[in-house]
Amino acid sequence: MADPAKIEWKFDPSFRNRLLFTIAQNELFVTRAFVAEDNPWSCTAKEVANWKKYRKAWMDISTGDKKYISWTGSSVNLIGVQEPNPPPGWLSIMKQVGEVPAVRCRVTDLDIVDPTLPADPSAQSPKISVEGEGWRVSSDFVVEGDYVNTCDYDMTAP
Amino acid sequence: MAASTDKNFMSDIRYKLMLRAQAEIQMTQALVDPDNPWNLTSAELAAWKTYRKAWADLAQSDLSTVSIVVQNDMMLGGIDIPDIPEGWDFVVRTEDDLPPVLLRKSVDGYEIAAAEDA
Repeated sequence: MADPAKIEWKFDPSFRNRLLFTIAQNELFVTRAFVAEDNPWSCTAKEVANWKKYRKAWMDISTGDKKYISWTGSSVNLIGVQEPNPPPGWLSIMKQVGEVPAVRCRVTDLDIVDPTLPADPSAQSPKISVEGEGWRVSSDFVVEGDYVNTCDYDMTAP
Repeated sequence: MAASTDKNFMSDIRYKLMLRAQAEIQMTQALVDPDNPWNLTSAELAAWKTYRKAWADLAQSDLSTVSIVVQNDMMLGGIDIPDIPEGWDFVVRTEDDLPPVLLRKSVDGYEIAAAEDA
């Protein structure tokens, strides 16, 4: 996919910073257990290393150059930046009925077939969220496609 | 990336257990943090690590024998809910639905409140 034109963020920078730091801090919170010293989820060394890359990628977004991070309707968090995908073998899923919180899990934790979703659960991970044409409400982040290695993950994990 | 399973979503029961496990692990993170802000003894630390891993293991376990039992914790039967380590408890003020607080039972007022609730 060709890179779209970048659009400069027009809102108050403090609002932009607050939004991005809130998202990043929440990501750090919900993934803390995957890098915890007592390793309750029995992550392998490769999985831990990949989760550390995921967490760092979010902090890089929130502390990096945000001039061109704009709104977009086709991103989970409505921000026009390539969000880090969960490491290979992992997913972030959510049951939309009742709006219960998302769950981070391994692909191997899935235990049913939902015919309304892509057959390959990893196809729910790619997020083509960098679009430059302003606000557009869509569900393009749920697409069939190849997994996007956003963080130089070790793809041989676990 | 090729799927490593023929399944593409999660059953309601496993989802519920995953949410509970992740919440339990998040609520107890400070207990096992390297700076030990709660001044845990080594025995307490080991017990909490066991508790946290037990929740993760439960959420990822075989659920083929799980059934709905409405009077049980989480309304699930056929599973063993991990026991909170000895000497600790989660307390909740149901009025206004305040979130649970984790504490040692030795804290001031715990015994009085527990007796009133009994």
